[in-house]
Amino acid sequence: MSLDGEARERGPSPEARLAALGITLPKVSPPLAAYVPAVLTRGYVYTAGQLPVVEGRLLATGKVGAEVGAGEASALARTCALNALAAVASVTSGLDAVRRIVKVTGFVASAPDFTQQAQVINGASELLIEVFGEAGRHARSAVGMAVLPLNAPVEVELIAEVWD
Amino acid sequence: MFEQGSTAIRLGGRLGERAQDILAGRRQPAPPRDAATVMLLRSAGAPGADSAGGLEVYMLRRKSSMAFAPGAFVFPGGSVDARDAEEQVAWAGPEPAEWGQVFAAPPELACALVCAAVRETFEESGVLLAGPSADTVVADTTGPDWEADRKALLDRSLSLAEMLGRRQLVLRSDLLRPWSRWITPVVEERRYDTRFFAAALPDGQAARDVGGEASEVAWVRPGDAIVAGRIKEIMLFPPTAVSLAELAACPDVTAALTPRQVRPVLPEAVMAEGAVWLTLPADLEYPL
Repeated sequence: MSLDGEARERGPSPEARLAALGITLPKVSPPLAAYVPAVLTRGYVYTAGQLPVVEGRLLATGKVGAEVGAGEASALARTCALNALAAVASVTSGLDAVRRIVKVTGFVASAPDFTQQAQVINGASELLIEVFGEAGRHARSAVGMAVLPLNAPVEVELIAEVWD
Repeated sequence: MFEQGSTAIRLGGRLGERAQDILAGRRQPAPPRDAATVMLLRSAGAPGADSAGGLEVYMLRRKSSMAFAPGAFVFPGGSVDARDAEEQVAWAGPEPAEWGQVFAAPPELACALVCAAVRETFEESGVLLAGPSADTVVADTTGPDWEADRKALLDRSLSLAEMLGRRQLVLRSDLLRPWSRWITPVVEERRYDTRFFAAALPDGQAARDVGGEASEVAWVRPGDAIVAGRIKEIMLFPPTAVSLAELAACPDVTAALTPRQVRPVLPEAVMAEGAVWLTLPADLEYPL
């Protein structure tokens, strides 16, 4: 298959889909820490864990199933995924460089009896499918945690493959 | 370390570096200066207006040339001046010792804080919380002689005690209510230990456009100011935003002037997720 054919099969580009969704990728601020927002190595981008932060403000705090509802947490997971995409874009030429999303790990700060971690992380997964189409489908873990940094309810990290 | 439901705001830029140094013990935090700020309130819906009750608060926008908080929308207020406590002031209402208990301050400092509250309110709004007697207030502060006094207060050639003494006025501390106390986070360059007061605009007095520190003044509904802050039309610091949310919860001026417990709030700075964050206590509503 020619490159052109492959490009056609891919449909609208991720950047175009993002624009159609009315989403602008947030800026990534370099962390004051011993790590980086994302690493590109051997054709894969690994992101650092991303919190539901918009313009420097953590959108919510507390445990899901207690202070934070599952529906709200799902929306927060979507914001985490968007921040993860921004981290990916910060080490590539942009989201059009992404061939597919490989793996998503979602951490849910959970009240002791809360078991709907998968529904919460669906918020992240659905955004990735909206932006990348079939190439956005990924393997995933959605796990419950006792507590996350800053008492955040959700944290998401991902691995993306980039085009050669 | 983090309280449940606490608000976290990321600090950026130079403040982030300074914060890191202070949190790591490489730099000493600045000592906070004592300060007073006053939320001047009036009933919303003046005769003829279509608004349905509620209250408005007087705010001013700090000039963009100012060193501290340029461009921010704030309530009138400022640091305690050395001259605020230098002389005896004719005093009505709760004594300094009582104010000291509320704000955890010795009586001398409490007296200076109340004087600073009255002085800053006059300097920045033209409203004077003083009267010829313990149960009256000055009716009109709009004349040129008052403006001359206001300017003399601003350049510190006149003290509040001198002005009140010369005009035989009594400071009406009963017109002020203690509201809250905010201490600037340890990572900030300029730090204040600010006691927030509330006061109703006295009958017969009107705030007027004043020069000096403000480039704009306005009576605003607290809820409207919060919305303007949310959409970034105006800049609000966390203490101002939280105070506006507290005011917005009051149905009217009378409700806002009911006694409140004051406990100090010192937003905590923490390193997390590769940034410095300020966290507010969980029971404070941060509306932005």
